[in-house]
Amino acid sequence: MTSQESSVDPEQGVLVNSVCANCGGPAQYLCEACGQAGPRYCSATCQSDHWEKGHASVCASVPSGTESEENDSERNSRAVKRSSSKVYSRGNVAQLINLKQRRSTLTSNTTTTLINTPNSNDPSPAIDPVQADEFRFYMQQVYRIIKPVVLCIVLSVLWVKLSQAPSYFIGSSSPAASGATGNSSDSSPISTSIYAAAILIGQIIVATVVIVFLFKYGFTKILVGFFMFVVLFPLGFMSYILISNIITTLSIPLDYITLIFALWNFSAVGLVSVFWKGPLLLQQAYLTVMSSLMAFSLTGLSSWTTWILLGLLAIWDLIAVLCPFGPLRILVESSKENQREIPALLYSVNAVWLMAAPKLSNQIQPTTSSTSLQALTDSSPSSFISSVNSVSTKTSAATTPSGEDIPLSENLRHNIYNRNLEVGVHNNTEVNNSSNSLHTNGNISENNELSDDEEEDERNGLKLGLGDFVFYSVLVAQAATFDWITTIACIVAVLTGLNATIFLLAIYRKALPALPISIVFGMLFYFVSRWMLVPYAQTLGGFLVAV
Amino acid sequence: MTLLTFFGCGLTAYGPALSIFFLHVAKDAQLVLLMVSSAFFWLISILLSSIIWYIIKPIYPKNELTILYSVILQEIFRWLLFNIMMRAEPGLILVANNPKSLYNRSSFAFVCGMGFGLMSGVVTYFTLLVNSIGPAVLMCNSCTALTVYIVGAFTTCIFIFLHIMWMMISFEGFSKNNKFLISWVILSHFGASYATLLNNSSIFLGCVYGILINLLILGISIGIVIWSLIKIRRE
Repeated sequence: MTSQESSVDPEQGVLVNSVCANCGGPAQYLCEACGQAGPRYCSATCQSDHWEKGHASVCASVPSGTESEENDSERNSRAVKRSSSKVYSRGNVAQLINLKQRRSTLTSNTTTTLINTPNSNDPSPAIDPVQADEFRFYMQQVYRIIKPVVLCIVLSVLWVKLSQAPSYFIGSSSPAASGATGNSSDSSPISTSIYAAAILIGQIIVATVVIVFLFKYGFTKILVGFFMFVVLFPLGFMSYILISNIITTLSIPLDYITLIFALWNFSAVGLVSVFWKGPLLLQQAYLTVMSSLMAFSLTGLSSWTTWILLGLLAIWDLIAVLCPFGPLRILVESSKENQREIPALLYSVNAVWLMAAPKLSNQIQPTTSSTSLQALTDSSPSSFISSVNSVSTKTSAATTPSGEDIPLSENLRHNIYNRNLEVGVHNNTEVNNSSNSLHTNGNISENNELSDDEEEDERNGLKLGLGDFVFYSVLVAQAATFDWITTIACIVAVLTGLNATIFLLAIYRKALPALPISIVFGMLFYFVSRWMLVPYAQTLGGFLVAV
Repeated sequence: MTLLTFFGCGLTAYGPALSIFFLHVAKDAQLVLLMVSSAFFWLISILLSSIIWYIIKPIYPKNELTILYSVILQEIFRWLLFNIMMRAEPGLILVANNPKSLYNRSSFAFVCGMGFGLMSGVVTYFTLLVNSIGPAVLMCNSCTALTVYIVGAFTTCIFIFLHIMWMMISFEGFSKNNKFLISWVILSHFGASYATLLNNSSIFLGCVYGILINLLILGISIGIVIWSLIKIRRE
């Protein structure tokens, strides 16, 4: 969807001086199917009028009904999304996705305004075009999310392999050896593991509750301090442990002065870029590295503890996100009460995580300070995916100022929020007004100017908690301590679980916990491949048999 | 041997498929997601095979039997994947980059096959490949001049492409209900898998025969794919 838009936008820029085929006013839109050769319109309303007046018979898209419908619907839906942004963003503020609402507005608007024309002409709409539009949107989102997830997982696997298999890269390893290390960590009695896991999960729950409490009552500075500590811990301490592991393993000579100097710089830059300002790419890199380090720190647990912990986390995640009295629900409520504070966080985190454009990052700056917190929050358990629609558009200009007054930190933990939310909240009134007259010329020109932003916004609709990043990586890193095949099976399982969750998200349109499906798949695949697939594959591989 | 062997064999085995992936598939979110899902399907089928193997290993540990049920399970899951894809196809086409293209189904089949192939390449060969970092060398039984690593790399590379072709042919066969194409996929899958038994057998130059048979099957399959693509265009 975005790619199509981008191809159209330049044309619109060129056409600003054209005349609307329907009303004769200045026109900036053209029929997407006909392109340059087709008529120009000042608004979607005029387009639909003109469609009835006869464009339907000449439109280039008529032979292929589906596509024209889709194109129209796409443009329309964008317009409509804009109008419905208020509803949408409010619902979303804290991870609640009001897609349902949005969708109903969407469809109703569509049918009433523009799209009805193409629809009525098209005899065979196999799938609701609006839905197709949405699925396409989700697909892009998933892909955008998968990249950092994969990167984070790969980094944690790398840390594990570098530090836990000392002989590996020197060359004396064997499958038996790696198997042995995996087994040795199993030796602790299960009761101890359960005990350790219970302590950890208890800490996570307490941390979450405390964060929710602080958030609810507005102790933002404490939260910022807490998150700074949480950022500093993996960046400083964990990378110290990791580096000393690696240099021992690879026999790299390195003196403490250099090491500490380098570490100090590394963490200081990380802290500054995450909490204050820095290039977006740098922020993303730091957050990814931080999550992977955090995951690495958890691989020190015995493997049974890790599995029990992951299982409990998945359950806790379900409770926290879905139960009426789960901490996340409370977070949602409090975020609704003080709307102004949360969005700031959301937005910036979102930008950080989902690779928004540089332009976006500039806008983010004012609010960034608090955001980063989220990143770390793995300490708090929440994980879920929520989706937001990015609507805001024109308001984006207005947004920037609004960012400043936001008190940072309330954090909503690992969630990545859409900056649009913020926009939507702040500009509710504005949007409402404009929504009444959707396509006035003024609005349109504004939209054109901001089309880039809008595109970015649309890309940022889906939010994945950083906690999910960490725990996915923990799962895979745990598998990595054992064997490569298990590792890869777990990666595929986790990614499929993520896809499935997002698919369900598209269907159910409410905030969903991201951990359970992935963790269940991951654990299942881990145990089956560990006990059965690995010996099976080794047997076949030993004979060079491919199946 | 060393890292040189590792990278040489690794790139021989996965290089061609990975370059196709990064040059053509990675750009398109839809195709990547399809690939991950089909890899998941293949993984389920191989997990079931390994469970069966685990159970009957003490009774009958021969590789011939292992290949038999592994291949059958893979074909069953290929069929399941096809059915799911057909249910989702209207939606998939609607969100495709080019909804009007005649070749949407073919490209879906291609990436699904790629998911199957890459997953199978990883599961059957990756352990061996990682072992090649170690100091020792394993020579191939049938071709004593070659290491098992390089023979495995060739086989893996061919198998990845075989999986891609099989998937494309079987999608064509299932959707047109063409018995010939379906049976070609199943039979050639058996043939190619059993041919790999030659790799480490005691037959002189067995690995050459094995690889040649695989190449022959790959050639015929590519021919069938090209033929069916031309046919789609004519229709």
